Amino acid sequence: MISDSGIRNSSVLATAFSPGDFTAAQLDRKMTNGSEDKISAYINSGSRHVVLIDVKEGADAKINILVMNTAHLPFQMLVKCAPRSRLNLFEYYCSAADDDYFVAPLHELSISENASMEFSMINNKRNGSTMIGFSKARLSEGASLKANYVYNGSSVTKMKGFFDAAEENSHIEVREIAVGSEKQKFDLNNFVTNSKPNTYAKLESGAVLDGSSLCMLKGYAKVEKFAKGSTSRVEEHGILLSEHAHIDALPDMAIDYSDGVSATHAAATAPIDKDALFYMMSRGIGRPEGKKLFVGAFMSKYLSGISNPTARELATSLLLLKAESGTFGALPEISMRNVWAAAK
Amino acid sequence: MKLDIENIFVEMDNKSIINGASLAVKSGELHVIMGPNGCGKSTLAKSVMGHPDYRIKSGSIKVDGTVINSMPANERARLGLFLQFQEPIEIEGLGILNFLNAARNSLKRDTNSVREFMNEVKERSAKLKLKEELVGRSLNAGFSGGEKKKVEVLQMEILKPSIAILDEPDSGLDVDAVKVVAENIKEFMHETGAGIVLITHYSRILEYLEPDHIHVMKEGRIVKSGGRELVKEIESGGYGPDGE
Repeated sequence: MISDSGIRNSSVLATAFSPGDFTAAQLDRKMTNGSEDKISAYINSGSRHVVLIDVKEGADAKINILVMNTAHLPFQMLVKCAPRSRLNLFEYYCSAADDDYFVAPLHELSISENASMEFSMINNKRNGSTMIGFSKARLSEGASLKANYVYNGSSVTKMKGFFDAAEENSHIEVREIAVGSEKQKFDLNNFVTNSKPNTYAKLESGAVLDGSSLCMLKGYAKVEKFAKGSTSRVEEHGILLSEHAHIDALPDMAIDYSDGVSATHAAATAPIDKDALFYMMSRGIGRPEGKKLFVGAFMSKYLSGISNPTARELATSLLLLKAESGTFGALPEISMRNVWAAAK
Repeated sequence: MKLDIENIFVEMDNKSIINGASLAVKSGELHVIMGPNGCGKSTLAKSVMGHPDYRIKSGSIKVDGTVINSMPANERARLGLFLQFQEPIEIEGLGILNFLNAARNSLKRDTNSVREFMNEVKERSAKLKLKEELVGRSLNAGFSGGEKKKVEVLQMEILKPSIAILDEPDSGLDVDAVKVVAENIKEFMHETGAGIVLITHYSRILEYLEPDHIHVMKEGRIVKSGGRELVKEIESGGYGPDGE
């Protein structure tokens, strides 16, 4: 349901409707149809809400969206950035009281020639809820995408994403961080592809886990045939704050074209470095404060790329609170100013 | 303040490293420890600061008469001890200023406002000939060896301990940087009256300092103590048959 006025300008056309109302043109722009993946299939078939965002050619738009569902909510967010447009989209998922519903967003991001998009999402839904999501992005020539995923809430989070640097000189950076406590579970599965020459695709995944939380980081990069001069990176790092927490970091890569291609993948998970903690304590900093500083430093790598100040500050405060006390899911005080849409 | 290391035996992973070391240091004094590689100098320094990997089997470390053998490192720092690391830790994402501010807030040693703190960092960085942009970066991340050592000295100057143990502040520094670091140490002692225990392999840094005591450490013990004449003795004859 579109509920606010922050979008009342001529640069963006935003509409909300049900999938049954798709016009032929809208159907034609759909990037997913459900045949590629079970999550995508479920959301495509089960969603009753679609938000369509079209950023006009050369326009510069910023949209903040609050998602607070009071029932199970599979929905679709279809974004199209016209040539040379810029879009900064931020979605914040949170819970009203007694929420054990699931939210299942499907994102289709189509970024045209020389357009740029920054997409940030934070999940801070309360314990007992579930997030299942699917993202698909396709970049045209000279386009760029920075996608920032912050997973803090929900008991179970299962996300899958396909990001395709589909045309020459396109640029993708995907950063995701999961911060877990208690028995939270995260299954994060992303694919980045360099399909054409001189493209850049980087996937950075991180996890900080306490309690008996679990996280699977499965990043996969592919450099397609003829993607000469491309760069591909997959990095997965984790910190374990508890001996009962567990991270599986499984980076993988396939390179079909080797000339002039730079491709690397790396993974490392470990408890907090005891020498780093001793270093901080030798300066008078207590153990809990030292751990907080160390974890904050680790997280900053994943949050520093968020240019939307509302998103960055919210993510930072939520994650530090989580690392300090393990608590999550509370509804923070949010100024509704500039928050544009709410889905029910 | 007085630091007394009394006949300590220290082990790590069931291996004895320090075998009956003793040393007494007062505020205002400059002690120098020299010795061959692997003789236990850094272990002694870390043991005094309370590194959890090192277990004190016997003997005691006292600050003003209080035994601190089982005290955590942050409480030792609050008593006025400081350790400059031979190999400073890199923490990507933790800004030097944030780190230093957190440390001084924990120590509660000064009442400077944040602005005064920032000005002091700027002033002392200039004296250390540290590039201004460096203190705005992550702690030691991507720094050269010399830059790391200077940032360690900067931390000592800002946190103002009563007794600082400097573990090879001169290694990895070029000749000009050795002089700059030495002058800063000297000025710091003069300003604050702090005591210094300086661990080094080289006599060059001592050309700019006025040590009160030189100690030679071998096989986990202080085997000889004296004045400057010991430095000349070491330079000409080394550390003896088992030394390097």
